[in-house]
Amino acid sequence: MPERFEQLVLPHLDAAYNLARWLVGSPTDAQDIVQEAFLRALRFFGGFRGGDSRAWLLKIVRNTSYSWVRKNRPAQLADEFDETIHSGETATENAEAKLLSRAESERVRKALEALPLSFREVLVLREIEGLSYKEISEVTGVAMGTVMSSLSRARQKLRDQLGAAEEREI
Amino acid sequence: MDCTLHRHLLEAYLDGELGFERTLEVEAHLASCHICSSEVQSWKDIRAEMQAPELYNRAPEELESKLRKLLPQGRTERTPWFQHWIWAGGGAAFATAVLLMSFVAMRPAPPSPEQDIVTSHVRSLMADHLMDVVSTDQHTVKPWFDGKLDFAPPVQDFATDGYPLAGGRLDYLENRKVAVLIYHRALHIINLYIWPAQDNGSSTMRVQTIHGYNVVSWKKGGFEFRAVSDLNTAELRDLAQLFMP
Repeated sequence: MPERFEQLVLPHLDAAYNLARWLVGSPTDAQDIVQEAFLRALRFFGGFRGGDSRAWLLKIVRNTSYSWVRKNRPAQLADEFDETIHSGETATENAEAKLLSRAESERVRKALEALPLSFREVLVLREIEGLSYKEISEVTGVAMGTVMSSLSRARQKLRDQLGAAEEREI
Repeated sequence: MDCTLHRHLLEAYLDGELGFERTLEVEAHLASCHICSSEVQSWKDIRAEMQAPELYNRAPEELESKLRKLLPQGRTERTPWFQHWIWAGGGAAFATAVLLMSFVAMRPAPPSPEQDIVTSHVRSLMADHLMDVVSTDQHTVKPWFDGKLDFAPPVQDFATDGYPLAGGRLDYLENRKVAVLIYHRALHIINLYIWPAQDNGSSTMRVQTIHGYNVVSWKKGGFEFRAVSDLNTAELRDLAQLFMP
């Protein structure tokens, strides 16, 4: 069993860490979450019926991250996007960001980080991790049709966010 | 200016989720529609930025070595020690047999399902993963399980009897998915585990206490039930009784 686990699960460590990092923010918390998810994965591995081991692991990481957010940052789970809070935050950070880096990826990172958790999640899974709709549906536990529509909304939000950042820079 | 192509179709194209024919259709459309083709291009640009290596957080190396240490060790290491006794000479055969027997006797008994259930109960309280669906309405909780399990657990609210339903979640026991209903009794939390029984028979209630938690087990209507709580056994049995009128 340990060998099989090692072969099937450990190769997805980067994916696991990347997702946790995007969902909770800090590197230390992401490490703790991956470690806890890994222990859960070990426990549940007997119930893994083969198939997509990456989606299987990411689902555990995702649920562990959500538990963490629910406990430590419950405000993030409020799905409504609070324009006032976010634009305020970004405006102050923006002055510094201007000095530090103008790189496009930095701009996208900020925009993504400003998105509500569920939008950020679906975009990270699709665009950064490259998961299919079916895999996203497995990881997040929502139906395929819902994956499509939340991805669509998330894209719109990201674009609005990028646009808003641009306007402030002008 | 208006374009009739559905936005979702365009996105599914962008995500490579369309079949061959649909893909060709959309490509033909893109060739003639500026709105859609610039839409696709603008998203491709954002995607390229998102896929920049700086946005992918690779796991630190120390994390992998930390995790490797958590992997259980294989059973092979124990064998040489064991063989050592087998190799002991003829005169020692009896002693070996005695030792082997005591070795077997000393091994901890395999955990019973009830012990697993208590562990699962404790974890649900600790890990902040008590409920996947929070609702006091049985008509919300029951459909929530649809498609997540290969059976439909009986979901009932007993608020009028003092056992309000608080929600449900999925859990794993002995390598299978089980339904868990969460009930409240005053300040106590009751986890009720439900999975299909081997047959349609019924059984009487059994009560066990493991690590200070009470477990009431019964079988009814083709389902196995295990109610776990720090609640006293009498009240836990009352809840069980509600399930078998």
